[in-house]
Amino acid sequence: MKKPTKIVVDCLTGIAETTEMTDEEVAEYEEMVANSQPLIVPSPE
Amino acid sequence: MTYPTFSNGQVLPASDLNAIGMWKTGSVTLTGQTTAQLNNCFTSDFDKYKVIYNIRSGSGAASLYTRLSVGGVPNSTAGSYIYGGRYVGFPTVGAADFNGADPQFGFSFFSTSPTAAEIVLNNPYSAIPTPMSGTFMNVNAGCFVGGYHNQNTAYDGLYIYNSSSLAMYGSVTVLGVRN
Repeated sequence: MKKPTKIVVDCLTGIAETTEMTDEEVAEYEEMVANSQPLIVPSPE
Repeated sequence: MTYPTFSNGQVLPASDLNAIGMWKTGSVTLTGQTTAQLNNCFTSDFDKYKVIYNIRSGSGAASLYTRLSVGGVPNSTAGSYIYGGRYVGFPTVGAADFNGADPQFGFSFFSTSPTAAEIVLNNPYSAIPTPMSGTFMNVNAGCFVGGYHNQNTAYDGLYIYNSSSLAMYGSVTVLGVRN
């Protein structure tokens, strides 16, 4: 299964680099998302 | 007042260039990445910034998240991104208020249809809290939101991610607004 990728941009130089996440980075990302809180926007009636 | 126009080969006066109100200080084109880290898009050159998002997924839907960062490290302090807003739905008009204190700003819920969001961030590069205001769409509603990040930290970047591991497509642009 293809791993997710990340992009890092240095806005001073304009250099952007896309790399595949390592297993550790994927685990860290999943933990970060689990600790993030979704924006609860009520549905209109 | 008439505004200057320029032609090829013309020498550009400093006074005309210095009158330009906004400069692009950073941007990223997303071609399927799950996260985007923009470094050095905030500098001492400006104290006001606009961030404009145009993001969709290849499949699925997720909440769009943003954190302020310094040296490539996003701030994830619990409850430090504080906000309140109002939501008006379409096509059925229904309105509701929302607020929260989260470890990130959440703007929009995107899917294979692109979302649109625009926020103003003031003084992100100063070691004081960073106020935020903006507008965004959320699938079937238009929303406005305001709030602030309450840490006394000088930030130089943004970290953009989502509530799943969705690949993101589109772009994000950061503009510095001149005094």
